[in-house]
Amino acid sequence: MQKYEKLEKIGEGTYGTVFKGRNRETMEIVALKRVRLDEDDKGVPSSALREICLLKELKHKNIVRLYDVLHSDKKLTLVFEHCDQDLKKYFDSLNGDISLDIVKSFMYQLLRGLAFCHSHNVLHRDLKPQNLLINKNNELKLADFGLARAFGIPVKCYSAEVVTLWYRPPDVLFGAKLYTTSIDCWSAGCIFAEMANAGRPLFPGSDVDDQLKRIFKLLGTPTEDTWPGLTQLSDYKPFPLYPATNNWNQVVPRLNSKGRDLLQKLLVCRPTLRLSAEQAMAHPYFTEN
Amino acid sequence: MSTNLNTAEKSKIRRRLAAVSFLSNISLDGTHRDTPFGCNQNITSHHGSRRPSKRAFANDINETDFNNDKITKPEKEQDRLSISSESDCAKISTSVPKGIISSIINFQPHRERGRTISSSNETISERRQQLMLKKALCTCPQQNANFGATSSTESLTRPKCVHINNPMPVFRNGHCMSSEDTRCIITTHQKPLHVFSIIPFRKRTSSSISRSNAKLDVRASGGRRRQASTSRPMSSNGENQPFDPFNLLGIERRFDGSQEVSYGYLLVPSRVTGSSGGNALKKHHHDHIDTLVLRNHGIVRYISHNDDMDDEPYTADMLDDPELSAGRHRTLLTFTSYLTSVIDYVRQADLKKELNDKFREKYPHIQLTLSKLRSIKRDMRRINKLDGKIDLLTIAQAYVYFEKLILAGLINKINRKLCAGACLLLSAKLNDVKGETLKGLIEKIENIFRINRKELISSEFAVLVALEFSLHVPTSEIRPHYERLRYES
Repeated sequence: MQKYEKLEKIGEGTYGTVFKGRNRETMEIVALKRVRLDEDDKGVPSSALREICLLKELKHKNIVRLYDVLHSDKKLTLVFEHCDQDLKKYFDSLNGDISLDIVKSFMYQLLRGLAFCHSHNVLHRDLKPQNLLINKNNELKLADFGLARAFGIPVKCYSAEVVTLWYRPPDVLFGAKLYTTSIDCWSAGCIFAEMANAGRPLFPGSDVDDQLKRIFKLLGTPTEDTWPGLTQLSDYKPFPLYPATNNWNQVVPRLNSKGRDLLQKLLVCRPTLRLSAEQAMAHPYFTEN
Repeated sequence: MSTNLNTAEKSKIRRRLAAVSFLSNISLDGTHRDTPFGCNQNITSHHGSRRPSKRAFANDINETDFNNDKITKPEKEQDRLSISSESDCAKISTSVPKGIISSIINFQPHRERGRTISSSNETISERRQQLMLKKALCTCPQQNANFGATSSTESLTRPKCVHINNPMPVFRNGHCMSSEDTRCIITTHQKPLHVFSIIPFRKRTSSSISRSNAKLDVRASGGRRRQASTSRPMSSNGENQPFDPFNLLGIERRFDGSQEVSYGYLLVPSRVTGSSGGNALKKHHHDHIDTLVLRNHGIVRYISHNDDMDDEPYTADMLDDPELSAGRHRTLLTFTSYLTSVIDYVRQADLKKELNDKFREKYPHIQLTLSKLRSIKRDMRRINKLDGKIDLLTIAQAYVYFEKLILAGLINKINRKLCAGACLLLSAKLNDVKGETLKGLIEKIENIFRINRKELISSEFAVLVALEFSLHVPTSEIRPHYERLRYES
């Protein structure tokens, strides 16, 4: 590797290892994601493929930039823009206290990046604090597009094994194979609540059932009336009919009413009623002082 | 192809007759009184001579319509030499074998010209050639009547001279390897006795003999060879060199010593301003100092060679135009309230040829024919029929990738199956195909396209680069393919 000097290891990604690196010419610090090609007899891992092909089209200040792709027979190195930390680490450094302005700023940037993805026909499908990078200027960037995919022509073949459990929407938890941008908006809602609570996850379920139970206990169990087609989903099973809580003050005590309203509009079980990223950006929460 | 069959049959008969007549013309005493010349007459139509023993026979296997008058008319020996009048004689050599065969003249391989020449419109050079031949044979010393071997060896050269084959091995081997499509004259007593062509035995005899079909034959045999090359796509370069899918796609990689190749220059969004990625690349091209990689890059090459098509965005109908199905055999009738088409019956082969010609006219830089493109798309389609998990969207998207490669002029006979397979693989990976389904897909691609797994896998990245990482294509490019596939199923 000549153009980039490898520095310390940052972590293990869904595929390969991530190193900190430095561009020898510009001295710019970058992140080097290394993918081994020799072990996999299936060719280029689809996660790397998705990152390359989708990030190529997604140049936005709230989306991590892919600078370069280095290829040799044995490995593939993706060179990314480097950010100091991710949102998870940021939470850890907070000691349970977060500025509400930062929450609003991060949430807005998250929605802006997401809206850009969606306007370019890309679903991220793995939004979670670990995949949101924060740099020194408190700029938030969507990262890890290894699970992302294009949408446009609706086919019932989308993978249901997407999104980390805690941020997975109820329709996907019920096995929906046809979903759209609403999948990311649910995750964004979960992250919004988590930010407002300085890093305490909203639905830390242990498995799919527990996850659904936690969701329904807060939002009320959906029925065929509130969500037509619910019972047709492939993995549908009936749950106890929990009533929706009206105790949002306890759920996100620090959020003001407009923030709570936005949260409630993102966390809607029935996907078609969920706010889109674009709509969410226009929510009064962001325009108030 | 009935003409081919005819010629095949005819030539079979002719060859046998030529052989029989050659063998039976070996006279016991050199006088030819004891040999039955008559067998030639089937071929050379009418040789109405009164004196068979002194007659010269001309038997041109391919050219039965040459001037017979010259042969039948004259009494003088010299005149009989005119049998060579039609021939495109190049160089005449006479040699002296021990037997009757006194000279064997090898002519230039057949040319179209030779066929049309008749006695009435002989060219000057033909006349001169006759004269020279006459002269040559006349200057030969007279031999005694009993034994016909002449000892003279003459070679006459015409301006159009091509080559001389040594006649001897031709006869020693019985079948001639080196003298394909040559004509021979056998003389005795300085008299031309027999002219015949040597046609080497070939499996695909039929049309190779027929000159009128020569072009067709080249194409057809090319097609047959294609089969061989595709089943072992690397046979051309696979033996010594390691398989290089980049080279196969015309991409020259720039190694900077570290064996790692940077493709950062391809990471330019293809749809920022609604323009194609090629434009972005082209712009980039200009500020890039080291243009080696770019210049060799297929898409760029395509763009620079097709400036008029520069701004034409890809559409699904561009290559595989559904309109290109009936050719000119469709009459569109426009009435005030409705349109109707009359589609004539047309032979499949004719239609195919016409459509391929139209396609080639439209895209001269594309090495694939329309029928081949369609056949490979059908093969890709078969994957879906074999495994429903590989949905039509995957197939449709793979079509887009493959057609873009074709438009870039990167697909040829050798790499087309590998590339089609790689396009399917890439498309599937972006459509949530993974695990066992992906494994199964790779196996199906191997089987359907008869390609090697390793080569498929290593072609994948090359195809990805050739597509400039632009696998995230607009829905509008995929949808027409998808709708067509759904309509067909």
